[in-house]
Amino acid sequence: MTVDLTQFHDAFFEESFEALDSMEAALLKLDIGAPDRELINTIFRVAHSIKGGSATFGFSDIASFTHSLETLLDELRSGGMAVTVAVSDLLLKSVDVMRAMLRAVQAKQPIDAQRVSDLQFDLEVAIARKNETVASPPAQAGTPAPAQGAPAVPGRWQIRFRPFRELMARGNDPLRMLRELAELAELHVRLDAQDLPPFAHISPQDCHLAWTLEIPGDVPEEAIRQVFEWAEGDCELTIARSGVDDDAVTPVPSAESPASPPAVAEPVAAPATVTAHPRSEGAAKPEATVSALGDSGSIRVSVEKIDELMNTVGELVITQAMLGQLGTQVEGPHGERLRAGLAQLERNMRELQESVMRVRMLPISFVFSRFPRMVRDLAQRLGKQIELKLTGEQTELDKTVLEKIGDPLVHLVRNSIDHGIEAPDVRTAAGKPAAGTVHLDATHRGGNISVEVSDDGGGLDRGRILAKARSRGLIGANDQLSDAEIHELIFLPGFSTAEKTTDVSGRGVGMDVVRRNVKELGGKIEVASESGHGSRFTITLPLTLAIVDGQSVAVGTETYIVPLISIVESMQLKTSQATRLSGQGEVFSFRGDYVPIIRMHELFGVEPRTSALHEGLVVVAEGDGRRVGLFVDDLLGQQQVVIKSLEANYGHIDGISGATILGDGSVALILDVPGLIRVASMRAAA
Amino acid sequence: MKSRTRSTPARKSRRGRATRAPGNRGAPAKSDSLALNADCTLAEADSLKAALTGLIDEPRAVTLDASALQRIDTAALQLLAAFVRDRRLGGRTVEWRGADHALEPAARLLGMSDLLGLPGGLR
Repeated sequence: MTVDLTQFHDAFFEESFEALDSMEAALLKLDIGAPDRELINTIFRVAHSIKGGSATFGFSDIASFTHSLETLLDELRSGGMAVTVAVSDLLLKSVDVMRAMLRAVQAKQPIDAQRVSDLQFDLEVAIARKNETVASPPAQAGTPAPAQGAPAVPGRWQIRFRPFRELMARGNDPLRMLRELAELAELHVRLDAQDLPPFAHISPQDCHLAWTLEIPGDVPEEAIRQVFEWAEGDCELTIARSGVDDDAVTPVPSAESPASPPAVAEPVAAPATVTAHPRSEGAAKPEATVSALGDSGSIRVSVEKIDELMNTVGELVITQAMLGQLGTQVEGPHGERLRAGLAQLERNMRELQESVMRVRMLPISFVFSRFPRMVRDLAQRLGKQIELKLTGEQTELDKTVLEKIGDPLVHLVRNSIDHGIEAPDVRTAAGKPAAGTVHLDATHRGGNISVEVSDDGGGLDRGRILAKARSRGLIGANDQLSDAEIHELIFLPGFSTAEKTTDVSGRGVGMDVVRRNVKELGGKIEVASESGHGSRFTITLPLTLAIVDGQSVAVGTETYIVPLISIVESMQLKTSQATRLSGQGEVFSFRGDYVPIIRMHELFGVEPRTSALHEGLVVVAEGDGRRVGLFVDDLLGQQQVVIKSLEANYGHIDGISGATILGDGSVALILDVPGLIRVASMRAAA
Repeated sequence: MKSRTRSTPARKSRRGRATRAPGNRGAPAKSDSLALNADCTLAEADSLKAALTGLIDEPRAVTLDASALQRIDTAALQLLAAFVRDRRLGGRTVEWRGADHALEPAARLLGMSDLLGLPGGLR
């Protein structure tokens, strides 16, 4: 039997990345000089579990690197080394390197060996410097110390480790675990081989052995548990502190006596009541047996499964709509009952839909958590003092949205720090605190989520923006612009006021890309700025990309869905209100503006019920900061529709963002208003 | 470990300097010694068991040569332990050669030195 460990790789990578995130967060919280012990333990645990995992899977580069890291952390933990800025930087760099290594291994790419060995060297130098004065703990692998006579440490850990048969086949090796324990401190090992079957009957992949281990009581329990972390659920494990350092237990590294073969079949005789009652042993602090499922309360589910579920729910919604429509046609007493049932079904469907959507929701802290590190590094590099404030981290949004909102936010925060927050001396001169504040906030507003990036810096510099726009020929020399119009300028492609291109800002990724990314998510971005007091960028996003609130409209025999978020209002026009401008097509007057009319039937080549303006309706819709009037035959109703990707199933069509299936089984196209405006203006120009 | 579990027999014999002791060559089952491969792990446990099975009833003293051994895990050690124990139960002996560099430290960690009849256990 060969065990294919690759099946566990995904879980390992996923867990390791998460662990690294928490390690980074802990590092950032670490106070220089007076570190919190618990934080150091957290950091140590992460390094340790990644080391163990990578050793199991044969990622020896990672294992070797994390070993050095772990040694350093052990020094910190034991107080042999102080947490200095240099050490903290070294540890943060280690997080980056480990992340890079894991990514490389995951993508089956070569590891940047130079970078790794450089940092590993630095780590070892740091350890060596301290070791000159402070004795290091016994560490060398493979040379544990059995049978030396126990030192008189008050209290010892007694570990009862009984692997289930399949432990080894699952990729765990007791030898490796015991070796790790031996690295923590002096380890006493007693083997229990009474279940070892006759040679001929052994199945080589099954584990038939069990151990009783003893380790000094000053080793943190967490560190011990960490060693067995990967074996959780594959073994019976009891860790208990024995209060008295009882003499009976001491120097017996091995159970069986070679002189008397029958003894093999006996449970170890003399010391410490081991085999019979593993759970009741240990005087002071009996621990619960660790087994089975690991963390309760949550399970890991692949995204595909959830998407599948989501898809099925989408189909159900369609079926329900179809039944609903049929139900209205049934007459008589049965019809009443049917409709009552259908109403109930609709309510339940909505609940189901919401529940499934909630499964896909993750707190925005997943994205926010990368900022403390980034802000710290940037502030250091730019010589600014920045305080980062995060609020609303628990606000949840769809995983897909979450993944795509990260980069725009990074850009906004970078901008705030680079352009917004002034240098400390400038700030003090202006009567502001030397440290600038960047505030990230997330809240739910209606069916949307709004994420704000604000700072108390200098605000957008009107003068510089105008000068830049003029020099680029984006506006005329004498154009007078309102604040809002000036703010719009920064979203134009190629616009950046950074005087020199640093590696912080001005990498050609501008605010135009930010806006485009946000648009692609069906959201919008707004700016508010007050000179001398800072600026605020607000991104409004839909909670999910899978379902959209839509207004269905009729054009001839076709039905189209206009996303509610883009509709300003709907109205009936008199023929006299519309004018035809030469070269610009039809427009009508709407709140002081002239708004072009797009005749949907012309755009899509559909035979309309009517082509007279006063017989149909105009839906005023907004996209890309422009308004248009969509001329349709009729409004049908508002409903939530499940978006089916056209691109995935057919191909991209300008002006259409997707399709949905209606209650009667027919397909309706969902309009993409900004795209529609582009198409229409191209046609008008042609 | 992944590469090891997938290594082919051909590769194994390239890595292990000697798969069989000289006296064993060409004489299946009628031999009194076995040289362990460089890799003695879970992935190779089945073939190790097969090799040991040929020796379990060998009336002469059996010599296990661990000098080429580089990596060993619990699975292989467990097999060896059962082998040595059963031989002893039958009143037969097992001798070790070259066990000091890789085998002994591992056996000591698992508390298996005595069972394997290795030095470093309880004397």
